[in-house]
This record gives sequence, C-alpha cells and structure tokens, in this order.
Amino acid sequence: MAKNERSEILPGTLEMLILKTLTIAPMHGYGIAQHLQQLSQDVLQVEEGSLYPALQRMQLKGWVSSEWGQTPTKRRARYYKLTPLGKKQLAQEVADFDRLLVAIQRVMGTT
Amino acid sequence: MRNPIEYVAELTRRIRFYLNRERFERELAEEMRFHVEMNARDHEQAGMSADEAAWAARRQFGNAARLRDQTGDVMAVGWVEAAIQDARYALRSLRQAPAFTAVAITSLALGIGATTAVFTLVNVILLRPLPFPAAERLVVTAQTVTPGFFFAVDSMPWTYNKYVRLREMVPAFADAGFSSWDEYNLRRTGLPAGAPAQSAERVRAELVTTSLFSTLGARALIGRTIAAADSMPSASGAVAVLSEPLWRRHFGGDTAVIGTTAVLDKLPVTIIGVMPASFTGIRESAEMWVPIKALAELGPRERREQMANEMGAVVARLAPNASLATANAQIKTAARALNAIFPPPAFGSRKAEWSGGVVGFAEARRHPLIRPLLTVLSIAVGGVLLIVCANLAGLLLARARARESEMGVRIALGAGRGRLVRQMLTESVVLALAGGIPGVLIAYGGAAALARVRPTLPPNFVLLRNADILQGVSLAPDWRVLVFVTVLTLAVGMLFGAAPALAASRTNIADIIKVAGSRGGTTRARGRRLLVIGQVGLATALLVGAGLMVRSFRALLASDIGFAADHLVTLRLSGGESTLATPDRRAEMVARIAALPGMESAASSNCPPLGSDCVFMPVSRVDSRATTRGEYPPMEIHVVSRDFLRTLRVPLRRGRVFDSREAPGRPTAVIVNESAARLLWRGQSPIGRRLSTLGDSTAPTEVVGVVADVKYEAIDAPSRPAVYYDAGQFSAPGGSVIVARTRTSPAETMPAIRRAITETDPTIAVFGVATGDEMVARAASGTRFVTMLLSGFGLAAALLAALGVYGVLAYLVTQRRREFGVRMAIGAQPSSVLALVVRQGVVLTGAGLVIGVGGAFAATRLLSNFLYGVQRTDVPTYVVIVAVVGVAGVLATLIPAVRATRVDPIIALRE
Repeated sequence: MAKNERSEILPGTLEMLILKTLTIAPMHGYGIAQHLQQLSQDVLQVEEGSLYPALQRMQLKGWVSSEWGQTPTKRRARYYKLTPLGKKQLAQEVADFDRLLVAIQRVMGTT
Repeated sequence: MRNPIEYVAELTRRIRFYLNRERFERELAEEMRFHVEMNARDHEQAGMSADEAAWAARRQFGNAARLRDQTGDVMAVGWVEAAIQDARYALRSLRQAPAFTAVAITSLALGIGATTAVFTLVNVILLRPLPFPAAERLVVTAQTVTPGFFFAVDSMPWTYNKYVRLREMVPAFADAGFSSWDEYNLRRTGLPAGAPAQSAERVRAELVTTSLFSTLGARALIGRTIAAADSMPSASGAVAVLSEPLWRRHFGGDTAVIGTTAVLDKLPVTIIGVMPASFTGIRESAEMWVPIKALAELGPRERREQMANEMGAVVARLAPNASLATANAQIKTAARALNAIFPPPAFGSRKAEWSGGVVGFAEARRHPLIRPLLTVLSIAVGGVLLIVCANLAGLLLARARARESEMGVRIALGAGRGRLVRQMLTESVVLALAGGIPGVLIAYGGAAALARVRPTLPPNFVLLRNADILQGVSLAPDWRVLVFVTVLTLAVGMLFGAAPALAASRTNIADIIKVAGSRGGTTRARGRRLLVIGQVGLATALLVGAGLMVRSFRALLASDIGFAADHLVTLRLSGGESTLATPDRRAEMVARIAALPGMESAASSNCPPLGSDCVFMPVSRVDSRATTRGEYPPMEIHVVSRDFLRTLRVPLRRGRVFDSREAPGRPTAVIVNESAARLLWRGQSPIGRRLSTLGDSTAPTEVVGVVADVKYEAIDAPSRPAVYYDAGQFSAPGGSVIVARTRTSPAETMPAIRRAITETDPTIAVFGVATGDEMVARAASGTRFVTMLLSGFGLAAALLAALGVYGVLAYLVTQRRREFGVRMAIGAQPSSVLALVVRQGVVLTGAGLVIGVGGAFAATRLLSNFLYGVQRTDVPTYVVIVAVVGVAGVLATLIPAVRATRVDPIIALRE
C-alpha cells in the first residue's frame, strides 16, 4: 500500500489545530475537517479520516468531550467540545509551538 | 508533565471505552459514514455527479477500515483485545495445518524440555541457595600451604586446636563451627526384649562442635539439634542427631526414636533429633552428627589428646558488616599468630608458608569439574534448541510464502503492517507455548534422568569439594525454573517467528495481484539458506565434540590401569574388635577368603585401586643422601599383604615380589613402581638401592622389585610414584581393604566372602563393595556422561539439520517446477537436473561444514577438562565428522533432487 502522498503535517500539530478549531464552537468531525481546510487554504491537507484516531486520543486524554446532537439538516452527528483541561493543553502547545517557530525562523534566517 | 490524577482519569476513561466498545465501534462507524456523506453532498452541490462525489469523498477520507483499526488501537485495552483475537486466529490457522503443527509442537517440546532439564540442574547446583537462613553469609575457611605437596597452593583443613583460637581471632566471624569426619559401626541398644537383633551398620558421622548448628541456622525435623549444653557427655553418653535417610533406613522412620540409645563402635549415644532430608551436613553425605568433645570424653585418654590435632572443616557466618575480603585479611593475620603458637611442620631446608583463606560455603562444596560440565551441557542443548528454532523458522517461511495471497488480501483490505507482524508473531508464540507446556513435563523427567545417570566425579583434594550436590535434592521446578521456561518459550517463539513475520510485512501487494507465475523463488529463499547453513554448522560442531568424547571414552577404557579389573572384588572393612587389631587375625581372615571355592587369591591393603584414598609420605633419603624439601613429590604408600600384587595381577618389571625373605619385625624391603624408579634413580636399576619414606627414625629399606604403575587415583590422572611395604613386616596392621580374585563371576562369590568375614569377626561392618569392572565403570563415569549427552545432542542436531537441508531443497524444487519442466522439455537430461539440485545441497552443506569446523575448533576448548588421550584438534575426528555430515547432507538432497527429475513438463507448464 502506498503511503498518503499529500504533505504531512508536523506530528502533534494536528491535535493543536483541532483544539484551536474547537475554541470557536463545538463541532462535528466533518466540521472540524472543513474548518481546517479553509483555515490553512489547503496547505495542511490531511487524510481526513485521520481526524478520528486523533479525536479518540484526545478524548482519552480528557482534552475534548463529545456528545451526540443534531445538525441543522436534522442529521445525527457527534459534536466535540473543548474541556478545561483541553484549554490548558492548547495554551501549553501554542507556547511550545511559538518557541519552536521562533527557533525555526532563526535557523532559516527569516526574521 | 503528567500528574497521577490525570493518569488515573485517563485509565478510567479507557476502561469505560473498553466496556462499551461495541457501542463505541458502532458510533465511530456512523460518525465516519456521516463524514463521507456530508463531504459527498458538498461535492455534489459543487457540481459533481453523484458517483464522482461519492468516490472523491471516499478517497479524501482515506482507508476507513484501517482508520477504524487505528482508532481501536488508541485504546489502552485495545491491544489486549487484539492479542486475544490474534491468538484465536492463530489457533484456527494452526488447526488447518495439523501435520505442520504436530511436527512443530513435538520438536519444540523436546527442545524446550531438554534445555529446561539442563537449566534445572544448573539451578539446583549453581543458583539455588543452600537451605539455610542467609546462606550467602556462610563461608568455609581452610589453611593454605605454599608451596604445597600437590599444587602450588594446597588447601588443608584446620586442626581443632587452631579452630578454637581462630574463632576468637577473626572478628569478621559472627559465629563459627568445626566439623571433623569419621565412620562408625552404628548399632541400636536398649531394644525391648524379644525384638529381633539388628546388625551393625556403617555410618558416616560428622563430629561437630556444639556451635555448628547455630552457625548454619539449621533446624531439626523432629527433636532438636546439638546445643551448647551437649558439649559434655551425660550419664547416658553423648547426644546424636540422625539424617533423614538414616532415620528411615535404620530406625524405620519412627518418631519415637527420640530419646532411644545406640552405640557408635563402643561409645554410647542418645538420639535427640532427626534433620530434614534437605540437610546433608557439611560434607553432603553425612548421615549422623555427634558432638566432638563429648564423644572424645567417652573414649580412651589418647582419643582426648588426639582431638586437638583432629582436622576438620571450619564453617563460619560472616558478621553483618564483614565482607569476604575483610575475613580473608583477618584470617591471614590470625594464621601468622597461630604459626607462632603451633610451629608448622618443618621438613628439609625449604620452608613452606602456612596461612589461611576463606570461600563461600556454596562455592566450597562445588566440585571444580561441575562448572565445566554444566557449561558443556548448556551449550550443547542450546545448540540443539537453536537448530529446532531454525527448522521451524524455515517451515514458517515456507508457510508464509504459501500464505502470501492471504497477507496481500489483508493488506489490501486495510490491515496495518504492524498488525500483520504482530499476527505472525502471535502465531509463533502460540506454537511455542503449545510446545513449552509439555516441555515443562519433559524437563522434569529429563532432569531426573540426568541426575540418575550423573557421574561420580573424581575425588578432589580440595576441602569439601567431593560433595555430590544432587544427593537428596528436589528437582521439582521452582520459581526460577518456571520463569526460565516462560522466558525461554517466549524468546523461542519470537526467534523463529521473526523471519516469517518480517517476510509477511514485506509482502508487496502489487506482486500478489500480478500473475503468480512470474515470481522467482531464489531470492526469497536466502533467509532459509542462511538458516540451513547455520544448522549444519551447529550440528557439525556438536558432532565433533561428541566424536572427541567417544574417542576419549574409548581411550579411557583401553588405557593401561596397571591391574586386571575382571574377576576382581574389592571391599572395605571397619570396626572389628579383634580381627583388625592384629596382623595375624587379619592374615587368618584373608586366608579364609582365599580358600573359598571359586577363589583364586585374596589379599589386604590400605588403598584400593581407582579409589583415591592413598596415603602419601615424603622421601627423606635416597640411598645415602638426604633429600631436600620439594625435591621429590610425596610417595604413595601401600602396606600390602604378600599376595596383593599377584591378586591384582600387577606386572612385575624387575626383581621379585614379597616372599618369606621378609622377616617380621621392621620394614626392610620395598617394591617401587616404575614412576618411582624413574624419578628416584633415573634409568638405573633400583634393585638393591636404598630408600626411606617413613621418616628419618626408621632404617632405610632395600628395593627388591619394580612393578608397573597402577592407577590408584583415577584413570585419567597420572600415576603417582608409589612404594609398597610388606604388611607382614609391620607390627601394626595395615589397611582395611580386601581384594580378591575369583575364578567364577565375582558377584556370585560376594555372599561367601561376607560370610567368611562375619565368621572371623561378627562385629566387622563391610562397605564399599565393588567388582573391578564396576570400579572402572565408576572411574569412567564422568567421561561416559559427557560422551552420552554430547552424542545424543549431536545426533539430534544432525538429524534436524538434515531435515533442514531437505526442507529448503524440497521447497526450491517446488518453486522451480516450471523451470525444470521447461529444461526437460527442451531436452535436458534428468542427470543434469539432478546435479543442479544436488549442487545446491552440496553448497549449503559445504558452507555449513566450514562454519562448523571453525566453531568446533573454538568450542572444543570447553571440553579440555574431559578429553583423554586425544587432542582437541584431533584430525581423524574432524575428517570422520565432516565426511558423515557431508554424506548426510547429500542424502538429504537426493529425495528432492530425484523429484525434480520426475517433473512432468506438460503438467508443470500447464499449472
């Protein structure tokens, strides 16, 4: 089986992006995927399904919680929302990511 | 980073997920479906056709099945579930291949069983602590003499009077005990009137200080052990503690034995306790323990005076803060002080240094040959197990090949490669477990069998190291054995499962989907070829070892022991209130035995052949010259009755044997063996020369004869220079060894010999009865043991390796059927196809042989302790083994090769 040929995102970044997305409002998986694509203008193309293992992992860690609800089109869908622990985690990850970004920029000489 | 509360919370969530996993899976599927449908709807709204939209959405989403799998894997307990699933699947697929499964399980059970059996012995002998509390703090101390009589440094037991002082001079000893050694005739007394009289029984007793049992921390099974108050005899004599086997054998295992009385020779004792079976004393084979001082008090005055110079083992318990090093240093200091109080015996001009040292108790009891023996066993059995693994890996690789399409389908359906590897490994571990469980039973039986045929290791001069450690030891698997077998089984499963698992994970679906016919089998079989080369190499090395041992064993049996072992009986006497006391009575008894029907001759001596029990004395004068210390090794001293050399049939080389010219009174004549003649007179005739070995006070004796060297120690030990004295010339009796040569079978004459002894003196106990052939067998038992096991392992290895060669070639032939068919169709001769296949086998076998010979050359170093009369680089052995393995390798290729020539081109091409 050939690996997914689209550009991979930095490991761990997907979780941060999901957390960031959920700060706007509780969303279902498809919503999160849509949002990520619009936000990053297709740069961060993800194999969309890989959202779900990530969401699962985050639920286990207690960063997000989920419940079933209805979409505006009256379909049943699972909505994910950020927990207080998730908010803390996001702050932490953003801080880490900023540091990393600064470091990368310094190395690349783009500041 | 993570605090424990978060961790517990996560674990709780994981368990909740697991408990509701069905609902979870349903919901996950629904959620994913929703995602794809929403996406498809969006695509449709953007103008795609319904089909296009659905297709795009699915592609965008990725492989749903694999993602679901991954999501499942995220859960902690997911892997448990997966493992159970894998195991179930493994069982199912193994059931589908019953022949393969049966072969695999049987060979695994035997391999794991044999390995664990050897480990059981290693565990009992090297790992299991002695059955005493904090046994690792127990040490044995001995005197050291540099230079020694036998080695550069000799170990000598301490004497009682030195022990008493040593105990106070070494602060590193929290407590210490002394144990000397003697044999007695034990007889029960005070039996109720009318009870059947019991005969005397020879028992090995340890004469111990009252501190010994407390030092060891040993507890009695019934009654009590010897305590401080027992150091002096009471009105009813000394106290005595029995071993469990003696208690069962001589006292019927009766608990009422406590408080009853018995006599040791003539000394009265009261039985106060029975030790558990696990307690075998300081010297392992002890059967009874009595307080040394109380027993001496009961004896005559000389006995009390002798006690001070009685030699024995000193066992001590190290103080909590003391190490072996501090104990050693303190003993050396103490030994210097002791040398001032008890000046060491001086001899000639060169002085030996007397000091002392300390070793762990467990270490002190191990025979020096034990480690080399167990090392050889472990390596041999490990080699066989590796070959078993290699065979199974080969079989599994072939199976994996057959299952490639299955794997391909599974990958195509979205199974992760990691999951496939795990699946394959689970299968091999399930197989290994199926073999490992019966393996435990085989191990238990195997260890017991090994223990039963254990060799009598040649006696060793170093203190305590004669112990037969396996005597009375439980071989039932303990936790160490169970841990070992579990780890071994899992490791074996991983080992032989690794290759096929990797092969499965490398499966390329493109290959599978393409037409099956275009595959070339040769590259894929490289792993199997390497396995087979390794197998042949291991088997060759094992067989070379076995071959060297067979040659050693034959050399040992064929070697000149200096006497004729057939039709010979030896036995030892003890006690005897009248017979052993005077030379005349002994001569009368020997004459009585010699006169028995079927008897050729009989004699007495102080040292049986192959018994390692001889006395050594230094040479003090040769002719008129006084020797210096260390100039000559000490002489083996034999005090023999007149017919001894004739009874043993020791060849006479020069001069004469003892006859009536040897007048009683004082020793005037000696016979020396060839070694002594060579050593003392360097090729000149010793007849008529003079020699003193009994100290300067006795007059020199004249050498009247030279006889061949007799092996008194062991067959594979060099003969020592020996001097024979005529017992008739001594006023004191000689030894208590009887040798007799029979005309009929020696075993048949035994009852008559015993009767003759009892008629002479009923108080004599007979022990150590053996025929000459038995003595030789016992002396060769170490070599025989190693020979037997190495041969067994070597043959098993060779058989397995041949199967391996056969397997890989059979597989190659199957792979290349079409090719062979084509070759034959275009006119190739069957013989050229045959040669093609055989050549492959020869290359494999040849490569294996090269590795094997190299390996054998390196590994036979480990056998050096057991080889006799053969070099470890013995060329004939190597040549024979290489030839045997080579022929076996070619034979193993013949069946597949012949099959290759029978390929029907039509059928092969049509397939």
